Amino acid sequence: MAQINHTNRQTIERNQVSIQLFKQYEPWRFDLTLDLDDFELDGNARVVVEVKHSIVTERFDYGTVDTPYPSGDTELELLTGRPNLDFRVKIVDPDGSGLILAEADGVKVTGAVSSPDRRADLLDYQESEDRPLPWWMEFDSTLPAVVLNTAISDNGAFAESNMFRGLNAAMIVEQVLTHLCYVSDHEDYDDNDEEGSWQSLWLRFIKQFNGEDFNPAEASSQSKSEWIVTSVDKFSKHYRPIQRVNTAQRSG
Amino acid sequence: MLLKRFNEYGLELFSNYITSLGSSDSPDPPPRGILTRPDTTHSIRPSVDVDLTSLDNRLDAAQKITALLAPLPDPVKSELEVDTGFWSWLSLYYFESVCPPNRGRRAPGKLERHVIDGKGRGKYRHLLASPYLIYKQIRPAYQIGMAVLNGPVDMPGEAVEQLTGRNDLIGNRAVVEAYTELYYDRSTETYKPGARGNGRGSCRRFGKVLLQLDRTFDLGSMPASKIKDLMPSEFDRYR
Repeated sequence: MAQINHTNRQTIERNQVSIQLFKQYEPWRFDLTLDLDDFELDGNARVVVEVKHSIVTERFDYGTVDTPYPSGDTELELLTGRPNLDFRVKIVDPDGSGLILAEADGVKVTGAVSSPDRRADLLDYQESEDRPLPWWMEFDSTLPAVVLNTAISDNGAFAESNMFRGLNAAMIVEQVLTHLCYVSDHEDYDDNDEEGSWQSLWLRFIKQFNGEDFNPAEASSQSKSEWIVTSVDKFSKHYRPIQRVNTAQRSG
Repeated sequence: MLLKRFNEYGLELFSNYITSLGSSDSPDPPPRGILTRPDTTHSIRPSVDVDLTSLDNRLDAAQKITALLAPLPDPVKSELEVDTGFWSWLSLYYFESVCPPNRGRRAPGKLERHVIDGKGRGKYRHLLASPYLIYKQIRPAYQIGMAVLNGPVDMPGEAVEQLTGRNDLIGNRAVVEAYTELYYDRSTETYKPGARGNGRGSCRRFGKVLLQLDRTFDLGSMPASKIKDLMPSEFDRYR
């Protein structure tokens, strides 16, 4: 049967949505990243995610266009263990009519994480009282470490909060990239295996956002500086730190 | 008997048996021996005892399989739910319910009713996986799904297949509830007259119309009553 779009429903393209699936613990959970900058959508429009496999569907409220974060856990109670999950992302009119304003259907998982902790691939988290700061970075082990002052760490819960992530994630990325470009003496960026240096892991991580093959060992100081600014901005566009802070403020 | 799952060889033997039934006037008895043979099965850990009982209808099948799997840890359960060898083993175990003899013959229908393909597709066609997965989604309020949990295990019928054949819809509780409210008569515990036919507003039309509405509206956020309100006038006789 022919499908006629009478409602001006917009299509969210594949490069504007990505799904990260975390399979290291059961039940699995997922993160959604949306880039809706090209759309003129009501900021209060609801974001809904449906995850499907065969005849089983799980549904998640994922906040609003302005604050696209889930209201609760994104744990797949029914679909953990299922292969080839299908995601459907809907932007729904906030007027209560249920009208779909935009959607991405048939979205596949962009990246799956099976290791014990996603961020542990890139960052180490530690606690200390050695400095009179809320947090600071250290680069003297196998991974860059975010060191949280014991007085505020709340057993790591603070580092997990939207407030901490929103306020500090971009700064952490900037510090890591700055260290990578100007302090680190790492030169071999061809180690593409999972066991490679943290510098290579970070270059691959940043390439997800800026699409750029960059070799600090061969770059001028000027181009390093520009690359850092561009990379942090593009990371932030996906990570949406401002919306995270807004969400944290609203939830008290 | 301990609950098991077929390995490749067990699957092959069971599939061959199903295929042989279609052309035989005097079929061989079900090869129940392969349910326990070490060369045709894998064990399930922790072990679970299963007692042979008949499955009275789709709801009964769903409830009995749910109870059977209840002692298993969630990861094991999740693995079995997508395991072709498990569902096929269960199909042979309950063969008298899923393919009962009729005047000496057995009519198994398509293979996928008993053996899900290797990629796990077509679970809604499997006579045991389908009611189990539907029940799992809507329990404890399983009454809202009686239109698709009703009927004999071996013959789900048109009304069941019209909705379970549409993956985009069967996973939506409110859609399942609206379907039941439209076509299932709780007082007689069967379908309303004409529901299973080809006419306007019938089960066949429901899926087609709902799929169009699903592209326009977020049906998952609506109660069954609002979904019914969206249906065009051809469905009025069932409201």
